[in-house]
Amino acid sequence: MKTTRLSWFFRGIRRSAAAVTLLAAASAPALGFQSEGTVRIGLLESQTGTFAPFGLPGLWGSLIAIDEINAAGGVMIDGRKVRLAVTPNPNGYDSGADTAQAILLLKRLQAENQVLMIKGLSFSNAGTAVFNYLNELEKEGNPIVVHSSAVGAPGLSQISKWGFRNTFSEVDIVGGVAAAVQKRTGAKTAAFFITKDNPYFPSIAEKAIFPALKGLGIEVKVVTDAVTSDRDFTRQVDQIRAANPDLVYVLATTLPAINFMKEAKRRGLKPKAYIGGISQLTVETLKSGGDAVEGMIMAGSYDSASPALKKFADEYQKRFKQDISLFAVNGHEAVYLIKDALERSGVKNTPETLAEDRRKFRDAFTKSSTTSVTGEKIGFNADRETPKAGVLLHIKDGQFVALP
Amino acid sequence: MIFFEYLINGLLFGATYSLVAIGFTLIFGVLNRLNIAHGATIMVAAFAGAYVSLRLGGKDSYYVLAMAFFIAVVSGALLGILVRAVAFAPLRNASPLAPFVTSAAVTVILEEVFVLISRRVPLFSPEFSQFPSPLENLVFFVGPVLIRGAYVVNFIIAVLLMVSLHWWITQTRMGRAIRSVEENPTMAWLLGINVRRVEVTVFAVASAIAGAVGCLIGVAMGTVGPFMGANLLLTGFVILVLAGLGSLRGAMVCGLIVGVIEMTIVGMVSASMKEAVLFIILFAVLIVRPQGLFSDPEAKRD
Repeated sequence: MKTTRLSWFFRGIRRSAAAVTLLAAASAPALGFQSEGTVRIGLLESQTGTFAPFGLPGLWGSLIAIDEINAAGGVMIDGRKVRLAVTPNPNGYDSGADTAQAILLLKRLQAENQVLMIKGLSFSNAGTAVFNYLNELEKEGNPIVVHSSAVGAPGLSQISKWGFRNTFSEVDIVGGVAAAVQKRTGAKTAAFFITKDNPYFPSIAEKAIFPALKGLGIEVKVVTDAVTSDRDFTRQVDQIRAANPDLVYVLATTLPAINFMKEAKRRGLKPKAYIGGISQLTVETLKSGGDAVEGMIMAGSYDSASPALKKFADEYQKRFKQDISLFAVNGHEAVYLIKDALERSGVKNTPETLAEDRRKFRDAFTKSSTTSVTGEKIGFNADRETPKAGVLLHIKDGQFVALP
Repeated sequence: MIFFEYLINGLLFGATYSLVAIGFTLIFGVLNRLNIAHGATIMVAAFAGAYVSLRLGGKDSYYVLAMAFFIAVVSGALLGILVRAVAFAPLRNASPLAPFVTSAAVTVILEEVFVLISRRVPLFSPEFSQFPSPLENLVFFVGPVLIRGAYVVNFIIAVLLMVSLHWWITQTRMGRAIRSVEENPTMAWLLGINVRRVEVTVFAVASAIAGAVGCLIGVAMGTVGPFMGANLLLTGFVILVLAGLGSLRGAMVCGLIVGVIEMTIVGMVSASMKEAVLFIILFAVLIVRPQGLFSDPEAKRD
């Protein structure tokens, strides 16, 4: 269950404790930089709250990549191999599900922790706010790169030239998904279940899915909405059931999507296909969704049966006792993109050159590329995003499996 | 027709809310102190039940579900005794606000511990974990109205618990002792009632009820999470004030009313309006009857 308003009291206590800890950290002598043989990378993911199913895998994937790089000697900066230092150690900051907290912690990483760049942001509200704040930092003359491996709202990286992401962009592929599903099912009508309090979902529906369906001649018969904290979806399921659509799009974060699907199963809503999105590509969807999510179709950036993923998947399972997800893969990829840029940027990695180093890093990052653990070669386009080919998946026997 | 469905399901689910408020009000009645850790007790017990169900494959087994319920009740009772020993007993002569703060601290600690547990224990998931049960997809149709089996079972268990509790409070020796301590703890002590024993018993019983609630709500929702108790604490607090502080009968009735209101608002409007509507109603009731709907205006504790 999500925390509600009474929990201001408990949050207050937690924040006070966090503030004391942070003040103590801020007053400690600076660690890192070339003289200590490290380069500081700030981490800022949602480790608790609604978006933890996206933030934690992103964090854990990144930590594995950082350990791999450090085990191999680190990154070559100014003629010397230095280690990637997670700031703050060992897991970075937790932005929870709170946009204001994300901004606060970004300021701290930028000004007090003196990191070279920040990898983080696990939800689109925080992405929008932080990327806008990056423009403010640029005006003040203190810009810094923020790279996200999770935020997916269309057009988000165009907000600031300091904002980057290697998310799997659904916008580029929803048309293909709709066409493929129509070919399989002969669908002529569709209905939507959308959680409207997360801008990502209404945005992707308006900007990408509705136009794609219109182009295919699929009529949208009903759009029903909810908010992330909703627990009962009787109204939404009944509205959709009355419209009797061929396709049902489920545009929601993990828990409301699962609860909607469970209610749909109980009420016998059986369209030709349910179509989800990257928010469903989490371990929690499979674990808690059970039979209710079987058969759901979505696009992902890789086929989990790919042998290329085995080493990463085994290490992830060993360390975090979980199966990998798209967000874990993205987190891993992101660190290798950062490594590539670090080695080509010409940064000096000293406290004195930090501002200049941040600019050099940004310039190098725009040209950064790597080969993902999925085997796909990725690099940034002009919008500072990493286009990916995509694979059509469905849930079969409790697993994400490529559609034959 | 959909409104009728919300009404029935709200009434059925509201019985669980009655139990939340009863546990809350039992402790308040005896100690004249709010136990903020009551919500966290519900959460811990829900995790205990979910663990049993996940471990023993509770998806298709009513036997495992019964075992999960039993473990949740026992863990709730044990945790309640611990909470009293840590957050209330040492502060007997302190300011009335002191146990409020210490029980809130217990809540924060328990929530953070369970955030870590849900990350580290492979059976659980970081933000929410499943509570498999055979009631998950059980539904009945009364004409066009769909009623969830989980809500019916919850209602029956909640009513059985409330009836048992009422009998225990009104008909047994311990029940009379509890009522005496509620009325006047000093006089009860002078009459030879072991007040400390009464307090421990009340904490154990109220927290066992919290354990039952944790299991029932976990089964109804299909998931448990480290912060689920915070929501329930808020609802329990609204019911407590709406009914009148210390009124067991009021807590039972107001729990049902809140269940119906909440289910209807969530279904017809949105969950984001739920608390706002509840507090507007609470505000209106407090203006008309400041002592609550079921409390005597002259009732005052020494």
